[in-house]
Amino acid sequence: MNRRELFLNVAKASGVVIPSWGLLPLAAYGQQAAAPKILLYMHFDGGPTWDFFGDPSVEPRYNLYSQQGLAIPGSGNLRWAPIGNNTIFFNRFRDQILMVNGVNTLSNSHNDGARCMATGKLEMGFPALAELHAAKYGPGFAAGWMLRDNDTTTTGVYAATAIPDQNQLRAMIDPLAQSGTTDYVNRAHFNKAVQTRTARIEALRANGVMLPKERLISEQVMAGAEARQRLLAVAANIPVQFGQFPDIEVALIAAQSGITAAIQVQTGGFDTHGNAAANDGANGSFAQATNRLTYVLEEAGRRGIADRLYVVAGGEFSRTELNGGNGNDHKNVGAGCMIIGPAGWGLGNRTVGATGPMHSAVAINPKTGAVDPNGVMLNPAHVHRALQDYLGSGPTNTQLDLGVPAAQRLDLFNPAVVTGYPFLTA
Amino acid sequence: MVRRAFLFCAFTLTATAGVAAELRGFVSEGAAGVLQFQFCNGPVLGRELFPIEDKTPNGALRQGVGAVRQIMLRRYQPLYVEARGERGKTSVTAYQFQRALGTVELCKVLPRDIASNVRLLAEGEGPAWRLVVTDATAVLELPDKVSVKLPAGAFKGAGSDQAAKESLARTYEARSADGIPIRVEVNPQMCTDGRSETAYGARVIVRIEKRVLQGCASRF
Repeated sequence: MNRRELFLNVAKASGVVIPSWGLLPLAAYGQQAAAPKILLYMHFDGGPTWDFFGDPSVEPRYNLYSQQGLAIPGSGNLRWAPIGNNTIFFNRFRDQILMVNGVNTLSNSHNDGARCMATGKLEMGFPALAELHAAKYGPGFAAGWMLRDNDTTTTGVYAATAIPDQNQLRAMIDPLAQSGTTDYVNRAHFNKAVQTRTARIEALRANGVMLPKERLISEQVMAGAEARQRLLAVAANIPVQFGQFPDIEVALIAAQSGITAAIQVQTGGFDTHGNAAANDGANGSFAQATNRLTYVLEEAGRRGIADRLYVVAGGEFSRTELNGGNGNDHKNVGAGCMIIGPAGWGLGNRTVGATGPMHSAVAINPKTGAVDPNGVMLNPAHVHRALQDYLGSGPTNTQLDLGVPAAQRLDLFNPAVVTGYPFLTA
Repeated sequence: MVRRAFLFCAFTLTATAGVAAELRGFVSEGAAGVLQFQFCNGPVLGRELFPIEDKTPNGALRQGVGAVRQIMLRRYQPLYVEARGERGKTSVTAYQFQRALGTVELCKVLPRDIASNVRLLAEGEGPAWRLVVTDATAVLELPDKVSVKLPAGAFKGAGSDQAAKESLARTYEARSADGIPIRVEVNPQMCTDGRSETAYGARVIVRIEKRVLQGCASRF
């Protein structure tokens, strides 16, 4: 009796099954823990008028609500424009919201501004915040970075997965599924074949009649099946009926199931050259945006991931005062972004950065947030550097460093750093 | 009879060959950077692509298309352009670039903001002003809602076929009813504010007393 036979006989006699595939490294999907922090970046496509959102203005030349004499609503340390569903949204999520105002996106171009706000840099070649986040928290995930917007592409740091629709999602995670409702083969027949195969493998293994190579192959098949468990967990989280925003829901299902760490989606309708009023109303661009953000936060709660979810929302630039057609044009100065943390994170109900009269640029002290003529004019690099540090997703490659000098680093996640609305006079 | 018919045809051809037509449609970039024009046939976009021979002053058409593309929302989509030129069987020759608008997406929603009888239209911002000249009227709208009526005859030649083919700057001198002298300088070259997804075919300077107003013209 050689050593192999002795080992197997001892194992059989003791009733212990030693699956040698258990000693092999499982495929990455099976091995990875779910992301401890999930990032959702929502691009406000078209260049949102930031003074129609969290940096309101009382300048009648700037917006229609000032012309109508509407009061500026507010709660706690936040103020917002009296349009769309802003009041409902800001009142509800006030303590989770950190508004960053007075950001100069350095470009009046849609593409360039969008890239600058998503990556922190106007120059090409820098990864989006979501891409960095996926690289940090989702290495080896099946779909670590779920992406659906018009412009963003990978820089090679992490491969993006286009957010599938509901049908594609099922097909993606289940090789038997052709679409959301149909399978390639009869599932009962397929299951019977799998059961037969498994029984045969088990019988062969139990009888010890497999050659080492056969055993290895069969064990790898089993290990592969094990590795698919994380993907199959997605199937368990797919609802019978999808909600109002399937793209967001699909991405959150993936995050809940542990195959996604970062999500990038968009909301549109902000390019209001001809009609600034299109921002307002129950179906206006800002109502649509806040509806989608509300859905993100509610759905994350339903799926049990709200305590790990960080949302960043921003657009390519802000917009000018009203033009001759009561629309507004591109303006890189006065843009901003909104960061929403988990409930109870203690960093919300604050604004950092400000704009002056006519939505002009204002410098702030990056360590206190106070208006300071000798301070820093915020641009996306300042915000992104702070986000990278806070989320722990900064690049290790120094060539991807955003180049923000230490003296200009924005202490954005210090609860004592607040700018407020020093130029909002009413 | 044959001779008279021949002379009639020859006269007609001579008379129409130089007439610049209004070109309304979408421009896209083809192979080797060749600009191509697709006409709006009413609310429908024509299927045929016409290569554009850009004879606009200083390549204003190409420059204007490029300037709008740089900042527009869907920069790879065809771009709506208004120009004057000639439509051949297989190509288009553009003499005068009027404007390109990155915000127009379909032939069925073309802008209707300029009446067909407008011969000169110039406007600027900061503060906002506007000069509108038709066959019968000329009005300069100044900031603070002040309007100055000018004699339309002072803008003779504006909007004509000959003007469409001119590449040199033109100057119009006029006086208001109060006797205030006004000088309008129209320089055919690409003009844009860099923020409205619109480029125009001419730069315009209006001098009224000591004030200097700068802007762009979409009809001139």
